[in-house]
Amino acid sequence: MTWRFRGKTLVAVLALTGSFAIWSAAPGRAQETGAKLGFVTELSGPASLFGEAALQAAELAVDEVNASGGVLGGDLTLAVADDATDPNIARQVWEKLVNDGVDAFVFRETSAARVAVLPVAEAANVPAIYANDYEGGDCRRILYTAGEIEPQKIAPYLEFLKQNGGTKFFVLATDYNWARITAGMVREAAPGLEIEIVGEEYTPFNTTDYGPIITKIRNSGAEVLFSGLVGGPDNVAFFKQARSAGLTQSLKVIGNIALDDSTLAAVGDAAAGTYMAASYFMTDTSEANTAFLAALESKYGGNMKAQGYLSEPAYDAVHLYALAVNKAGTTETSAVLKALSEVEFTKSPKGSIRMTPDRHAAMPIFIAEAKADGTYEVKESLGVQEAPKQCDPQPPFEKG
Amino acid sequence: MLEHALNIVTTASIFFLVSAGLLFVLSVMGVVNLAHGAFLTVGGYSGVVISQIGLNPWLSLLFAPLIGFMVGLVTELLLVRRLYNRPLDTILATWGLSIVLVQLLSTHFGRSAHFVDEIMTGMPYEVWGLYISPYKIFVVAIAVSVGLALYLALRFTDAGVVARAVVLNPELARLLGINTRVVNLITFGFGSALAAFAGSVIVPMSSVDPNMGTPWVITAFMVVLVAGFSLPALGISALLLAAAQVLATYYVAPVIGSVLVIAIPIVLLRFAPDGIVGIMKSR
Repeated sequence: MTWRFRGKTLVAVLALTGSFAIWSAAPGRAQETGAKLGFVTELSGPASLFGEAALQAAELAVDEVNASGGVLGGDLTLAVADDATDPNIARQVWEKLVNDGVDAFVFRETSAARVAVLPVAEAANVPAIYANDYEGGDCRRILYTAGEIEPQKIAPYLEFLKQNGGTKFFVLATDYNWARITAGMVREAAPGLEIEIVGEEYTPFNTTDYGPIITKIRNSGAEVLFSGLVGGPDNVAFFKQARSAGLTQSLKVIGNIALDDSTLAAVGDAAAGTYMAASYFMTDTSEANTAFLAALESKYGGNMKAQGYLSEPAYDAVHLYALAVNKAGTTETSAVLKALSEVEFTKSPKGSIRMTPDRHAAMPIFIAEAKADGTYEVKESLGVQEAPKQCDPQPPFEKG
Repeated sequence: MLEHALNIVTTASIFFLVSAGLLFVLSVMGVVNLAHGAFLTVGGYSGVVISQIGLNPWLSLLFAPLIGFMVGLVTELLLVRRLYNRPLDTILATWGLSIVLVQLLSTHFGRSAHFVDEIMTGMPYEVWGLYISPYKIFVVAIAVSVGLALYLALRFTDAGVVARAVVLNPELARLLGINTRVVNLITFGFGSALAAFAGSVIVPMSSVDPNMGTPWVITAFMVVLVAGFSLPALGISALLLAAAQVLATYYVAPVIGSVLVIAIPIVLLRFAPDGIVGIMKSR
């Protein structure tokens, strides 16, 4: 499945946009009440599994914001749009929402769509909060990211895998941009952690025959397999074949980096005993998460979608926006962007999430173990992980 | 080295299973059936249905070819029959049919991937430091059985004699009172059943989605192209391409492995236009 294209073509866009920061001081609207938030995600197409769950999380957050006083003395309203997991459609619906006069965007879309839509928000000077996990490095001035980024969890995760398995790592990943970038982070972090990468392999999407790869992993003498396989088909094929060939038993530890809760449910017991690192797991038994899931259950009943680290950030993003608008006392863009760098949402199901001036978020990261019934059990917390420096703070955010 | 041999034999078995039906239809009818991949997909979804109902996954090995056979019969009656002696049109028509079938499957099952219960489970056997999975034994056994059964049926049964007569000279066969229409109908149904059967063997260790047939029909086409019209040659061709894919995947990169499966036939056809059969005969 080819959702979650996390392009890094944005480097070029960055160079362009960073140079001409038209900091238009939009005239403050007098006595505004409430705010209108554009929410774009995948409600159809391959990624709709995550989009539908993200929409429920966002709607719940809007209810909660309004129940506790709303924003600027009025209601926070949500204008929802479906991008159909298609960057072209995504751009069109963003243009429409801009014309409808939304005050800001919260979006859970693929990286390909993110790169396509942000120029729309930049041209219209509308703040946008990305509610998804990605590889980091997108520094457009109107953009904040409420999801985790891989640089924030790779090093502590590798340390955990080393402690539990050994120092000889094999890296297996799906052959596309995000996975290769993530594998690059592993390669870079390895020497400092005294980890030896004994092999590296990238397989195309929808590989059906993992036989030679499994042989290669076994012959490499690896103790730990770091897997960046993406999507149900490849994870299912690999884990079933790996178990059948005895590889899952002969390796000491397998650590996943892209096997989210929903995909694990499809893989089932073949991945039992493997690990995953993420900011959020649906099966986390913390008080905050129990309350979050209970609220979703009472709002959606039988239609409630399974949450995971690819959908839950929508909930945090809506709350963070409401906090920022109330702090700024206006929906005016530069004031909201400044306030966003200073807010912290303490009632997130994952714990506490704090926005930083470089426009990414500090949040707790957890390690979970896959169980035979296709769910994760949270094993330990790596504590709050700061996002390593991604972007230069924009001039308006500098103090003094 | 033994591990490579094991991987090659397993992959070759799958290649052989996937391409046997295509070769059969091509050699008897002269029809390049590009809907072969779609029939394979139908077989995969037969496995999905069995899994969803909760029946024993072994049943999919019977259910899939049955469905494939019926779909094949209908296709022959409604489409292929009208296009005899128009090989290019048949290629287009069967490709068009595969698009229709894929869309019908997407409408009913959705575009996302489905997963099928494993037929063979259990721990691998360890022999001389080699891990042999029950699934690999199963796939190889199935391929060898299908190959032997086809070979013996063509050699020693009346139906086989009739089929070979039609292959050698359709005109003469008709003059001798063989109903070539019925032979073609059954042949196409049988080829489709083989495709669906191959689908049901593959999917328990991978996954099912509406477009899964496309890469397989290309692989099958390449295996047949390299082989030429002969069952033993098909086995050799499957082994050759599987060896290229497995070794290139291991020593170079998975992408190169996939590329070789397409590149080798192109180069080989330049020097041996009749495939392995041609090489075997010229000796």
